[in-house]
Amino acid sequence: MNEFRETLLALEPLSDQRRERLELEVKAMAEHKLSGLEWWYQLAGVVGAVVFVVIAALMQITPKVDRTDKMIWALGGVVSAASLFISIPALMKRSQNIRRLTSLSKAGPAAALGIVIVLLMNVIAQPTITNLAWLMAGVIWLMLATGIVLYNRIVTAELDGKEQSLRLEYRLAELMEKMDRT
Amino acid sequence: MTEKELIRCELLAISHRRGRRDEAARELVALFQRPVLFYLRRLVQSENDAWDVLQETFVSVLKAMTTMRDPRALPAFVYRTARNAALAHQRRQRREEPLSDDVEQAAEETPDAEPFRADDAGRVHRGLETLPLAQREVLTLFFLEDLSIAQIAEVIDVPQGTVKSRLFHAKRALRQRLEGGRT
Repeated sequence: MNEFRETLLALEPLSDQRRERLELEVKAMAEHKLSGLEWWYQLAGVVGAVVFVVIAALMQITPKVDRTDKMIWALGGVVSAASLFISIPALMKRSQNIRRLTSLSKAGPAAALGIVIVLLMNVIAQPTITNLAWLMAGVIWLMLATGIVLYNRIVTAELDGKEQSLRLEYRLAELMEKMDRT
Repeated sequence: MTEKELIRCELLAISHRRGRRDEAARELVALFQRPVLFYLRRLVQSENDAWDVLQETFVSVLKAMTTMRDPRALPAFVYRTARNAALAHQRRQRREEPLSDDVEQAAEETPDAEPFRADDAGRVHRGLETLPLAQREVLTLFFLEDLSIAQIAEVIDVPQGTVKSRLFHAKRALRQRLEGGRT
């Protein structure tokens, strides 16, 4: 690095108080703040999930509901309850944790697969057109969820590779710099 | 910018794309806080104003990172954003000094005089304040070495010839002031 540039920069006084304030503000801006509309959307999601969990619980104790329906409601209830662990903190902090959201999205195909298995069991037990249509819908959902997760995995793998090679390039550049100095 | 710093810009963009926004923001500050603050101090009135504009700059840059295609263009983008934020700040404060020079003669095609040395830094730092804003700005960007002449032209939105001309006159004016200070 050029000595003149470094000396010149060192001459500029930096207020510690302002630097600390900037660091705090930068930390805050790194969070994904929810806009007014997003906050209401999250709230609607939380209310919907709570209602779903309550209905799912009621379905389990209602004698008239058959076993397959109970299982579908139970699976939906578990997914809804899991989503509350993301939505409630986001709602309270008014900011979204993108990383946690991304990792939770990976659970989508697993939930879809669970539902497809239940629907398949239902078709085997009662092979009606309606049950078959539900199974088809489940399969389409599973394919979509898997496709999205697969696409994200490909992008992530690509970025992983690029990041690794850049870190290597950085070390090489660092080494070259050291060699130039000696 | 050095190759190392350009690689850091690319890594910063990857961190941002992968949702590691806190890491990207920290790296943005680590890379640009000192030089951009130095540049802003030459554009706005007080240190406090410079810090405010710097913060606005980082907010805008982080927002725009999502759509940025070439991370190696990040330095020019940061300086351009800082300049626009400084101009907007000046307009709000109603103390705008025009950023164009009325003495835009063509640069004489003479080889550059001896480069400034680290020993001169103190006097250069003071001398910069005495130059007209347009010359001060271009010379500051030149001294910071983060941008090429083409990128400086892009940041201040003038042709490359104008940058060279301003640099020539700014260096000459600064040398005159430095020599005047010695006697």
